[in-house]
Amino acid sequence: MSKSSKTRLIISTLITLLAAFEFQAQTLPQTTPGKPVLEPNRLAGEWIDRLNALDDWHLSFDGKEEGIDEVVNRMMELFTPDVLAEVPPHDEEQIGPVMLVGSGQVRKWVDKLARSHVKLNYIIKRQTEKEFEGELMVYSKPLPWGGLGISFQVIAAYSLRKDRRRFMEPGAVFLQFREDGKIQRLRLLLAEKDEVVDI
Amino acid sequence: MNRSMVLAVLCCVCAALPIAAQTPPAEAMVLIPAGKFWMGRTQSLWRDALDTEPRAKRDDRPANLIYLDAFYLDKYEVTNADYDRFREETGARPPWHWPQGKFPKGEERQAVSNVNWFEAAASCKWAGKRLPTEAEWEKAVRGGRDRKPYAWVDDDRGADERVPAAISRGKAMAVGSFPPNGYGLYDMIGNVMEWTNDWYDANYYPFMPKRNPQGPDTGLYKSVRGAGWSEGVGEDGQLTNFYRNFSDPELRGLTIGFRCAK
Repeated sequence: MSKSSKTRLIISTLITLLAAFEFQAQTLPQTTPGKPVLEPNRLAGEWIDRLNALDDWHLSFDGKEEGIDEVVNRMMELFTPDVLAEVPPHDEEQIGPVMLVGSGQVRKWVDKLARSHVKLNYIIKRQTEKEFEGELMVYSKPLPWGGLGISFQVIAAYSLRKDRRRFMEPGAVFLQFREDGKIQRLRLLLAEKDEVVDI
Repeated sequence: MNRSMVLAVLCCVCAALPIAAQTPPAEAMVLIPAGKFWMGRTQSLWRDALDTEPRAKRDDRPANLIYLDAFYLDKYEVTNADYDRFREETGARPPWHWPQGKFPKGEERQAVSNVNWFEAAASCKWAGKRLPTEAEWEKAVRGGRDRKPYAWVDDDRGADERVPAAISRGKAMAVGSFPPNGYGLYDMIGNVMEWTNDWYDANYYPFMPKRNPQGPDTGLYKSVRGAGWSEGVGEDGQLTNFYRNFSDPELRGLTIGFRCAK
């Protein structure tokens, strides 16, 4: 091989490599199978949607509660079996945070919520500033041990099924997701419970 | 005349029998009235905010508004002399620290200890009673002072006043050595810790029944309540009404005794 053809080969190889690098830089980040991309806004939205869907069941003509298990199951799909949760008291006969250990206890809480609350409307607080309108404020941080932590403010609105009294509570949600997208820690803090009345 | 007199007496006795069945089972028991009370810790503590405590030790939360039927509870912890009578009649084994199987002279009224849960339950049954549930015990210790951390006074006093009980001592004392609580019960905190009938579960409170709770269906440990004589004065957390403890039911401990309910 002549010297000039050798030079041409080296140059064409370099060009090919550069082009390949450029192409690689433009492609989407690769995800390992079974490890979804943890996108904070989507994760927050999914948790809120499934929580609000807990009242999406009905009473049959003969008074049976139909569809509760389905909505509870959909909510429970989000949690790991060893989830730890801290949630507000379930009713007026409890004081203090409720610690739930494991998905069995979390399921009891979710089930109780589904059966005792109606017209659930949890909203992620948005913020408007300058030219930005209604920005979803979901804060996130990759966890040192893997996975993602997110938090956001909520306004919780709900009615009690027993008497239809409606309440609103501002609060905050802290969620820690494992790398597989399941929730391992939940902290739901609600405060300043106010009854909503017609005026 | 004599015959009608005898008949009249018999009638009176027959009429009195059902009433006797309803009267207090023994003078050394106190009637705890039916009603609701807050079971568990209603206050926040600094350690909650620090978030440094193992989750399992938040076993006293959330507090629940619990209804209990009326019940009787022993005014005093079961004493050495009480337990010795049970031992003599049933052949139960004596606490291992009794020399030659007999309690030391002069310690008749000392709270018995070194009895396991099975022996405590058997002793209560022998006396026609039973061990109290954990909820009954907690209602009783509060002495009517609902939602308060200490059985005797509010928590802005010195430690000695807060808990005038047999603590920080070398061994159990004679029962009734310190003032009673509002229900007239002695040594609910201090002297010996007390077996209750319930299995212990650190995660029981979030979904406990609100009416006459009987504890979990099963478990590894039995619930033990009330501080023992070895607790330090500074260990205020363990001297509170809501502090929960537990022990292997087979275990005999020098700081664990019992009292009975009915």
